[in-house]
Amino acid sequence: MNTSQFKDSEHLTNTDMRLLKQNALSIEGRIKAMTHVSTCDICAVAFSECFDEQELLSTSPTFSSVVLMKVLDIHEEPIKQKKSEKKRREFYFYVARVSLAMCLTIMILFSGTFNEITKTFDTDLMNKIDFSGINTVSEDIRTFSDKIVQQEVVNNDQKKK
Amino acid sequence: MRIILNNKAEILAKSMKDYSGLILTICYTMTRDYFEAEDLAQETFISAYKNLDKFDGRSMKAWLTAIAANKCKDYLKNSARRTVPVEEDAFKNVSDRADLPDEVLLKDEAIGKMKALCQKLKEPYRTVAIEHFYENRSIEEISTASRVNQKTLQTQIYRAKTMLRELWKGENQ
Repeated sequence: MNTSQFKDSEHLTNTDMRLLKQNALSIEGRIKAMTHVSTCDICAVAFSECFDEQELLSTSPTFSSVVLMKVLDIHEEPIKQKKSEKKRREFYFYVARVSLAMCLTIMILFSGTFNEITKTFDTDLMNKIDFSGINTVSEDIRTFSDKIVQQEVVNNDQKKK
Repeated sequence: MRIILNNKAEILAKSMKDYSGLILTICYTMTRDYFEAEDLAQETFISAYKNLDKFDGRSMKAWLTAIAANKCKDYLKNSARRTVPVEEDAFKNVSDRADLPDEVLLKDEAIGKMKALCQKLKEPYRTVAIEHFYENRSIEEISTASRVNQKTLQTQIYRAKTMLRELWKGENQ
């Protein structure tokens, strides 16, 4: 067909390079050319040489600093990854502990273990507890409050008279 | 480890100093979009840095060109996938354009387009964009001259770049 349809195995001719520079090749032609240049040292050299110094574009003032910052990010990425990995591991461990506790609770609840415990529990032990002290205190409080009520009644009667 | 790291960074800095213009021009030649070209050129250097141990030590210029070509190939493939080609366009006849004058330099084309697009922006982005993207003045220089805070300028340049990127895409479609 024409020079834009060169085979991948063939080197780029001067015309191909000129057409590439003039943006005169179809997108398929450019893809083929770039595929070849990316794998062929000879054409990579030739293509880099076909640009004159005065026709080179100048990069923006922030170009290099952006690249260097991205390069720094590459080095910091494993550290960040390690930190997030540690956090994730801690979270999984916490989830595992809570899940285990939940499972044990449900298991004990539905397996009748609590019933077994209450059955085997020594009920006589409840009777053995001495509540006499508490009973005496509550009896005293009741007597005291009765006395107050009686006194109030007497006071009220005297007021009426 | 640190020495190796510093050494690699030094090599990267030197290659950017020597070849960033060339790589940007190659990427611009393939994309005809300054901002896409800049992204690809930056990716080229980052890729080179990552794979520096695979460099055979012969020609840095050729090696970077090959990496840039690979990046451009991926970009062109993606953009070809995005746009459905018209049958005639897919097999554009090169002979129609083979007699284009050589003196129409890429650089002039890119600079002219950049200036025209910067003019389309509203103030304060227009002035900042012209100074930064057209006149290639750094944020520090613009800040000293205009007495505007560097942070404000950074934000304005970022927004202007986003708008210019869109405008450039629109022009190319």
